[in-house]
Amino acid sequence: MTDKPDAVHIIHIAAPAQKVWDALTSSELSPRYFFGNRFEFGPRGGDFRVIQPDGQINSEGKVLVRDDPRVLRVSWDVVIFPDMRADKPGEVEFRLEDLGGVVRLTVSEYDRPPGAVKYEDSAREGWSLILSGIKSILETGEPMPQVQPKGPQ
Amino acid sequence: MDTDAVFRALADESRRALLDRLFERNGQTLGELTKGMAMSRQAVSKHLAVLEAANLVAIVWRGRVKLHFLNPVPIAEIADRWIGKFERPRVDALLALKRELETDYD
Repeated sequence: MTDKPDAVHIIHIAAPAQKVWDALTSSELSPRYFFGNRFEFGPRGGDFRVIQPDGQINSEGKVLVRDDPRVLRVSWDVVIFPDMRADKPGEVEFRLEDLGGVVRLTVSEYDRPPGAVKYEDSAREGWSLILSGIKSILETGEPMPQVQPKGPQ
Repeated sequence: MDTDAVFRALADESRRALLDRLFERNGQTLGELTKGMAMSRQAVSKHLAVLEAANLVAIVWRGRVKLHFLNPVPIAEIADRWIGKFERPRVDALLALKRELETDYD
């Protein structure tokens, strides 16, 4: 594990930290902003999974840090793409900071696997869409119109 | 998102050049970003502060080293505002066509 992220995404959301945390960790809400995929976060030391709408496991890992409602860090192993199966898992950290009525949500990616390079553009766009999706749900109560990220080029 | 701050930050050639540099290689220090820019360290630092205030640049401290990351979220929010669900694939197709045609002449 290195302490230098490969990418950082930040969004400000006008909602209480607990609501942002609940939206992020909820299996029911996450498909509304995560292109139909479902986040599953266990307790610290427990399992982390991304389940696709078709029921297949997209990614899996362990919950490395969990400090409700401030920090959530997971190891993230993309298992759905055959060409990434040999890669070591990366890590993703979600950090919530209460700025007084506004929460700064920061997603940092560490040790991004080599196979993910060709998915970098879609990851970049993916996190942007996911974060603005969470913001939209919390601030307006409505998800954004569904937009799919571009696939690898 | 402070839309005015984002557009003000983007309305400057040097600041766009700094974002280009971070797009190519994310997580650079002020020193690294100053190299190759025809301006002083102080000037680059001021431009980075404007980008940071607009949330276009995210700061990560690693010990005493300050690293700058491109935060594309505000730009994605601007795109989402005016590019609808159904236009998006067409816009992407036009951009891909442009890229294809223009790379031959680089």
